[in-house]
Amino acid sequence: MKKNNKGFVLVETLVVTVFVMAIFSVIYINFYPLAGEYERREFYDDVDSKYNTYWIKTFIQGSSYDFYKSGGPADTISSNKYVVFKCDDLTSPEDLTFCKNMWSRMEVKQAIITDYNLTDFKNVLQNNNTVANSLGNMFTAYIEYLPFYSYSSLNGAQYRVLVEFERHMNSDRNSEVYNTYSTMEILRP
Amino acid sequence: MVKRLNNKGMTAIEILITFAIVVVIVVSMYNGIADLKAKETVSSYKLSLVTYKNLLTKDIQDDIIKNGLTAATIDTLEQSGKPVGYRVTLTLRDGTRRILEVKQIFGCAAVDSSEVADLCTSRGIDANQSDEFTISYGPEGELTDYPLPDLGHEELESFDGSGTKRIIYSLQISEVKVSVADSIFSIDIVLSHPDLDARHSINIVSPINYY
Repeated sequence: MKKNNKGFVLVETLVVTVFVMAIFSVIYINFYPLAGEYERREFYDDVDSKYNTYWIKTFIQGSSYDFYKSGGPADTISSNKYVVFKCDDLTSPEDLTFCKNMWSRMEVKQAIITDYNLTDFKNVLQNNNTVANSLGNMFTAYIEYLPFYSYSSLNGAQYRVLVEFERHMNSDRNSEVYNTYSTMEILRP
Repeated sequence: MVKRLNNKGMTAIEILITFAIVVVIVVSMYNGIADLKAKETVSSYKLSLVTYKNLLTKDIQDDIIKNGLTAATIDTLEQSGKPVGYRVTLTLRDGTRRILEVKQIFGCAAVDSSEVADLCTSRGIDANQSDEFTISYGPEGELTDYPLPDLGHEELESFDGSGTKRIIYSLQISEVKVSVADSIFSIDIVLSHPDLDARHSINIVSPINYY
């Protein structure tokens, strides 16, 4: 029996090389965006935003935020799946002033309250462009990144606050801005 | 039966083409690998900085949130009659006090004597001064130092001929902004590094006397 002693010809080698390079290119193209995504997540739930969100949560849980009044935040969340929190909604003048000063000092851009479980709100964002556009792409991307929180809160929380901060690079208010995001659960008995 | 071996070798042209292909692949990968190496270095800097920031922020915020802040006063830290930073006294609801000291002394970054006037003397920096950036925090009289992570430094010969070195750190406290206006305590310590942007500042905000 005659043995096939032929090796690879140059064309075969070139074809395989091109094929392997094409595979590497596809892998690179698919994985490269993940690096950018990872960098963006550095500004999700960072320590400053987390502690600042604690103070927003304190205002929401306080007695001067009439959560369960007719047509109030709880009703809006029930129908729209979210409500925008504003310091102006606080009834105590002292809390209102504190909230506005803190809001400015902490560089809060917007804060919204949703159910603890984000499933319904995520559906709203996916199906209602008006809501997604009003919150902005970056805030929407953060909410989509968050888990659904399908299981009940261990602390019995029914709601959740989501906050977007617009921070400046330094004390100059005209300096470049960047956004950070954070969430905390809300306990409203 | 005598087995006939394949004694054919590669021709010179085949070897040259293979070599050329390998060179093209290596050259195209070199930039990518160099970029990855640079990214890895920056990531390690970020990790050190974030760990440092988280540790310090948590220690301060834990005291403020668990105990409640009833008062905050700001004093200027001085060294040889010059302002070099801030000393913040935080009074907590249980009556205890915590002190936060931030010292910011810029060293002379001049490499040779011709640069001293521009880089140092005109900015009020002694020609033999090293960088000194320190943050200390803790109960009154028991301050703990939180040394900034060393993310690279330069050792420069001093100009006084003593043979000592001036140390210029890559990571610097570039700006400190502290306020107690409107019954809100806030401090923003901006950390700068040539390879990082200014998004790694330490930022603490707390209402005073708000329960």
